[in-house]
Amino acid sequence: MKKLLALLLALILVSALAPAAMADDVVEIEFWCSWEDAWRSALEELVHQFEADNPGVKVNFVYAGSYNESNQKLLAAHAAALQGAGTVPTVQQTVGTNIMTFAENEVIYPLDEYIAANGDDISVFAEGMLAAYQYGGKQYGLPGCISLVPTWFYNKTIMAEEGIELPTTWEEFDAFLRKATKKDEAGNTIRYGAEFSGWGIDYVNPMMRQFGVEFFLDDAMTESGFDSEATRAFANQFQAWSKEGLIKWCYGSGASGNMRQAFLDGNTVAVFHTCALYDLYNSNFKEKGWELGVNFPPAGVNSIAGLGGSGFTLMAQASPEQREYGYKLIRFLTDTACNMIIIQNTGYLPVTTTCVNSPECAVWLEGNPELIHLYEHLDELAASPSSPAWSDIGTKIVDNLARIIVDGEDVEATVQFMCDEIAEILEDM
Amino acid sequence: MSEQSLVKKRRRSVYRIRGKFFDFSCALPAIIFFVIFTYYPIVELFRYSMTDWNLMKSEYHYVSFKNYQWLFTSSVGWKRFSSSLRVTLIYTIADVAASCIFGMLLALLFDRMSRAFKFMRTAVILPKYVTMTASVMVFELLYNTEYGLINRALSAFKITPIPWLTSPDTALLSVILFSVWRSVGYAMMIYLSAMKGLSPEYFEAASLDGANGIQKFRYITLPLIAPTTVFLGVTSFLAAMKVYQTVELLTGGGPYESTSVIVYWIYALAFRNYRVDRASAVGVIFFLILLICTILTMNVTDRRVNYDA
Repeated sequence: MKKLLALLLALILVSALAPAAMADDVVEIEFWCSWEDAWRSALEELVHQFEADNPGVKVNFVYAGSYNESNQKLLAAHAAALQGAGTVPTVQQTVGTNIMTFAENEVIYPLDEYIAANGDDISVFAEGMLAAYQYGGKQYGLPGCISLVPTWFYNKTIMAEEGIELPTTWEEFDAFLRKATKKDEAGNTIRYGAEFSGWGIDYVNPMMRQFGVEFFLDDAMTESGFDSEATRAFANQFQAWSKEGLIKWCYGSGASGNMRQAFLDGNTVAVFHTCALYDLYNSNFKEKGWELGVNFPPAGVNSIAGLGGSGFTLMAQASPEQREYGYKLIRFLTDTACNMIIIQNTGYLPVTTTCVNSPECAVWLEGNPELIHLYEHLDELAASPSSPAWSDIGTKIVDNLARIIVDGEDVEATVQFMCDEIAEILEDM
Repeated sequence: MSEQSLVKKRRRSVYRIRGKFFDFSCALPAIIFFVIFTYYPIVELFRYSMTDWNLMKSEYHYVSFKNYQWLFTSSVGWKRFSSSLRVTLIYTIADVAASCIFGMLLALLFDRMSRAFKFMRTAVILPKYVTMTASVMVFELLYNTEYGLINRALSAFKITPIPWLTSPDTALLSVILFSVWRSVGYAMMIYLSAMKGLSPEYFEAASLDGANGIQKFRYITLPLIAPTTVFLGVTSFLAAMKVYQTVELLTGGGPYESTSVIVYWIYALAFRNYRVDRASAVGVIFFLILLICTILTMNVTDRRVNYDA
């Protein structure tokens, strides 16, 4: 009886250990995604495809919340892992502005050794996009889901009907606004020439750069360049347009939704938003029988636009084996086939010249010819400054510009106040 | 003393010790829980506030009271702290006062049994149990300056649209209104249960003496439900001081930091600026403020409230 019992126990033990032994051959990695429902399934499908192509790896696809929430969880996981408890993800969808902080504190791991080992040519990536994921001469991530902010959307149908010409510079933009804006008899604006995304620093900072504003005067990003004529020129120009009722500077809670709705209702001829909304605008315009125009923002002193969205990074505390597969996943997600799926599902941009020149992209552009105006400028995308102070500085810029443009406060006094606040933040770092 | 009585005494004391040990062992899981999840984090919070740790580095250094010095003497630290504390206090006082007053008025109104009133009571308490995110989504639609229902209704009376969430003059008020809408039902239920527990004899005697409804409320109901008011006041005060989620979802601390309450600032310091050391120092000071407020409230109310009812 005892022998039988021992045999039974041994059998149970062996059967319990067998799957574990089999599982040992499979490397498990975790991928933290920050995309909302509408786009998440496309990314999840790609991950499953990666698993099918790589039988030795199992990818746990985790929705980690918004970019902010994902970072918060990552820091908690990282801190716990430092104490020897818990695990970190292997790959995270990371916003470029976090690279400096994460790299300095060894939260993320440089990709250079994997790039070299695999003989990957990363020069095919757009320069600005790649630069957003570099720090201290090392490549800490690869751009994957990159948007152009602000992307200039306009109502081609209205413009054609009313003979409004498309400006190419901010100087010409004034004439465009005067033609595009409609007012009632009392002088109230009933249709704006354009509406701007004044609620977020990522939208505002490229336009300021186009006016020649330099954010930092040194590489260490300790001295601000905001106290300049360019800043005042920018603020004066937009305040004047706003006071005349030619533009609307959208700011605060609900501003993004309101701007989107105004454009879809024909209450504004143009909006400066993210290219990630291309699909939404395009499909709604088609339903209304309108034609959507898409363009790179008008040129100023500089001809650049901002870089939104995210890239993929490897976590320093993942095991070497996990990181190896993590890098494979990153390369998979950034290659042409995956990049095209991301583009088609969302409106994000191609990240490599290989993708732009691919036959798939040519077919895509045949159906969406307007996008060519964006794809021509991929090398003119510049990342936001990767400074830990940028979040605070950005809030000060956005708030003070709203005071000037929306509330009509004095430009000189408010710009000076903003510069003092920024100097205080930088001094405090 | 005989040996028998000595044995009996020893046995009794053994039983008493066993009994006490049993009582203690029953409370032990709760004690362990509190030590791990409440007291240990408080100690750690204080420890982090004395370091330069940012949650990411594997090494950190003790910097003594440097983070407190930053909080109280630097222009950025002190400006943000005083402004956040001011916003938090305004929010707390308005939220607690409005919830208690409207809760009490609603309880008086619904302190009778009928189908309609039952339904109304349910309708008033329901917002408390709707998830915060869903409630915020609805209020964002209501408050929207251009497309919101409130402004549409106001426009019928020729009132110009109010930028509920986008003006620093109205944003905090909008957050308070939302919070009161959520919490007033709970206050009403607590007051209702207190009112139901009042002896009808007091009111009958007052009627015989010719007291009217207002006098009965002023001289009987109000003093007798004072302990309930204290309970609600203290618990709502502590909850309101710690408000975070409402602000994060409704306004994100804006516009122009006009709704940036202290817990929101602590979060931003820790997870947006990556200054866990400074966030801990603010957390410790905030904890002390709450502790002092609670002790003061309890002391004052112990002396002034009649618990005999």
